[in-house]
Amino acid sequence: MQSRLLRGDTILKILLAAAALFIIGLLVALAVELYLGASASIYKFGPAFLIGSKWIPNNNVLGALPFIYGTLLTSAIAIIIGLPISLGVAIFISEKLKSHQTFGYLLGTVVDLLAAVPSVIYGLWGILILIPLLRDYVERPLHNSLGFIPLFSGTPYGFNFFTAGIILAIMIIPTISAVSRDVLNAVPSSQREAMYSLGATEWEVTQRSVLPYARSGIFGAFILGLGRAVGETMAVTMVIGNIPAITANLFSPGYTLSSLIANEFGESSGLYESAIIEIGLILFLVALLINVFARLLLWRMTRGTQVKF
Amino acid sequence: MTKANLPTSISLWRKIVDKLMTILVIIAVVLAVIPLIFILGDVFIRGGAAINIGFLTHLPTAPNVAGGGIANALVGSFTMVGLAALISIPIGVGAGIFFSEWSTSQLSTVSSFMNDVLTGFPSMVLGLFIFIVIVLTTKQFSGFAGGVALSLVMIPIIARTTGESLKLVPTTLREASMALGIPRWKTVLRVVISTGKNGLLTGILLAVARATGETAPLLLTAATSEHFATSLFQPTASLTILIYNYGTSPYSSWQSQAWGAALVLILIMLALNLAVKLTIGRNLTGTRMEM
Amino acid sequence: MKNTYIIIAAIVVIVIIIAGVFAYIYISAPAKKSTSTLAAATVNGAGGTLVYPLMTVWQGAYGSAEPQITVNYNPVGSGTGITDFTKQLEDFGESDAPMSAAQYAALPSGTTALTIPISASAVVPAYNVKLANGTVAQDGLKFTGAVLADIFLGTITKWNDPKIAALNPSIPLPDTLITTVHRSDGSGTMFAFTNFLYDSSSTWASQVGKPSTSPAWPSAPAQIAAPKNAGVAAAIAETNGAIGPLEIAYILENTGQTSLYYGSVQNAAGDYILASVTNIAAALQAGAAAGLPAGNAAWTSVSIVNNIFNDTAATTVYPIATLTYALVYQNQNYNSRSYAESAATVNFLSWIVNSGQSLGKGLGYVPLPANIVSVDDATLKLITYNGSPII
Repeated sequence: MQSRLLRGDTILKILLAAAALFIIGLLVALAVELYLGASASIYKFGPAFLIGSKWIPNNNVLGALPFIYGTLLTSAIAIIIGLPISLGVAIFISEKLKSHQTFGYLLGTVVDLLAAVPSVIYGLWGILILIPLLRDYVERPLHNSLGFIPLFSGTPYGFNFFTAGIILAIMIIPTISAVSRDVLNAVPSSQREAMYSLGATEWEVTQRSVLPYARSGIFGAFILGLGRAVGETMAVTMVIGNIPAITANLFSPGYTLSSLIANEFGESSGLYESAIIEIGLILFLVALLINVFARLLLWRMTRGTQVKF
Repeated sequence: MTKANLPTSISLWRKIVDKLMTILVIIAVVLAVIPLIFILGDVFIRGGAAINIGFLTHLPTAPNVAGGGIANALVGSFTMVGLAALISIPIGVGAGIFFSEWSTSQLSTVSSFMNDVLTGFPSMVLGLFIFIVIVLTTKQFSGFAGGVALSLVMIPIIARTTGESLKLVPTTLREASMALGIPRWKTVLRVVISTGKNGLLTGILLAVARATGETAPLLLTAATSEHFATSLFQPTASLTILIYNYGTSPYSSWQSQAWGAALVLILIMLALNLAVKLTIGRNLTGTRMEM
Repeated sequence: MKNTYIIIAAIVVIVIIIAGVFAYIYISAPAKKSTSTLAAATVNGAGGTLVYPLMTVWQGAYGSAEPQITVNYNPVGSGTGITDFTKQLEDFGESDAPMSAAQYAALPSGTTALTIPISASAVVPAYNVKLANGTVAQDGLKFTGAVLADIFLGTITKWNDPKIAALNPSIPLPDTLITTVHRSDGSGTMFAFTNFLYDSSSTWASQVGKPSTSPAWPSAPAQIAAPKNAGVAAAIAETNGAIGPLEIAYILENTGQTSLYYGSVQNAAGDYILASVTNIAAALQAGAAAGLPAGNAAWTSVSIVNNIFNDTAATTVYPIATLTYALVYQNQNYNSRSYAESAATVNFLSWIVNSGQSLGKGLGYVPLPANIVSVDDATLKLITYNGSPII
């Protein structure tokens, strides 16, 4: 009897471990392919590629820093704006609409629809509708009134970091809110009931009991959203202006690593193609570093607070 | 007991904070819904005019020629996303279960970290990878390569959400099941998964939505075609590539077809979402753990 | 559990119905009958997005003429088109710019690539600017190559700069800052435009360098780079004071954009020409008359712009016209290709160069003049399979 039980356990564990190994293998294969493709460029340009801030292919002066900056800045804007909104939506549907479950479900489905919009449409919509809207009603007023702050100091033409960040925020809202919603729903009622019985207000229940319990899950949602923001190409390329720049001015055109790949890869060949693949490798490293940083943050946040009962 | 000794109701400050947070949360919802209305409204208005039965059943035609449709793109997208789901669901769910149930093992930690890095990979680079690995070796643009590229987009999403959903299933359930003598593998498959199935479904639906809306990976793998693909090893049309090519063309007849195709895509996702949630995810907003 | 079975059964039934509908549509497509002698084959091509709409027209018409041959075209961009062609993934490649020396060198050893112009296009200076009297500037603002070069170099910064005003004395130009718009992705349109600027201005030539699909645009006070012609068109139409190089079809066809106008450019004879199918065709004719290389030679330095740049006798030509090329291997029996595939490829290319040219006029494509068609026909005769010519 015992050996039969163990066999089932072992088979399952092996199958699942194979799946986990596949993921590792996939990432390793990706890294190897990228490295192979980029090797000509790595050999030619060396470490100067990483810290150079000029990108002039005709003179073989290539530096990836402006693009790293663009990726980090737009992702940061997307998270700063998108994360609170997503959490707000998730909390609203999961906590406030407890007694109106159908409406909550409908609202959730409608927000999830944003995830189904193809990124090309986001790009077209961005360039046709969002840019004039943001430029005239948000960016110009901000520049006119708060132009002394370095963030808003440039004249806005619509194609800039700010617009790219906003469109990314819109794109990650459905991801983060859908996952957060499920996470919040899965928090046992006993958690809430215990707080209520102590006389807490609705918000205090959410803040002190539900959110901490769901911390790990919400962090997972945040990682998914961040991943989308860092890797998103089509929509960002349409609205960011595609001019390399390292500046605090949010209204300046910028350039991200993935936009550079999207713009240049099709037309490139030889050494330049290798350089573009090296940009892909750098993007891989940037994603790696962001994840390391985020994991460290999570570890600090949940140290000693593993909720298991 | 006099009135003065009974604890009074909640202090004013806490009431204010509570009301304030409610307002903030409502503002968040409004902010999230506004772009939604804009985008979906735009897609409906621009795309609505293009949709009719012919649009859904005809093959594409040249610009300004009447009677063009997206039939082959519809079938192509279906096929490739279907293939991607077939590949990515077992691997993603499997890895996710491993992350959650064997979370202490080193393999799990390393793999889940790498999985997170994969979620941030630009899909264009994933397409390039498949271009090198499959297209160059088979000397052929194919729907198969497109499906595999899409599965690379889906796997990390499914793995991550599965892992997180299953982690939220209380340990007491597992312990209770094992205390009854049910072997671990049955516990995982029957008890844990069915409790966390809503989270699983959300993750799968999110991944499918994402894959259906992807363009870049298909550019270098499935290419495009004006005909139905009669085999998996041929260039295959897809809705997103059609939207990309038609949307950036200078012809208004093609541009409106692009928006029409986007509308069709969104409606299909809506139908899929509703169908899955209503049939398999029986509770509307999710399983409340009553304990 | 019973509910689940019913629901699963319902889903299966629905899937079967949908599959049946698709199967019916596919099967009921008219049977392909053919009276031609060509064997059934598939012809695959990949390359620039410029000819993609024209390709769909050609696929439709050629499909009626030769129903047993299926043509696929993938608009991935000229660069990828050349790369795919070099990797022998396609029957023919397509590109808005001829192959460079490096690209010729990257071809598999022992192979020769033939360059065959199959269509043409032109680049116009598109703009959107509100004049000093409040109206929007219409088509026909006059520009010279030198002035355009100065605008994109950043030396001319305002619309009412004396150099622009000198060319347009009757137009009340405003004191608005010029926003230059250009492509962010590599493009044959940019190649042709920078070719023209290179010829027109020595400052441009020394500062920016040779014509390129991805030139190093000098920074101007206000600058936008947008992907694809559609992006450039949208950026110009939304920004007051913007000007940028745009492919002509996006002006002639794009009924979606309201504030998009284009200017006339001075040619070598001194006339200001507003681009149209007629004067572009005249440019191609004059440019080809100056001489095109043989199909199997290197076409790296072929440039219609250069050929007509100093042609002071050509009064009706539009100066920024450009060809787009198909690339095919001279010896077709590589990679165990069948004769049928090679014959189909040659037949298709021959058809589009001859019968297909007039079909594009409705969409803003310029038919190739007779002298270029005859060069193409001669090139196609060079194609061999196992040593014997196909045509």
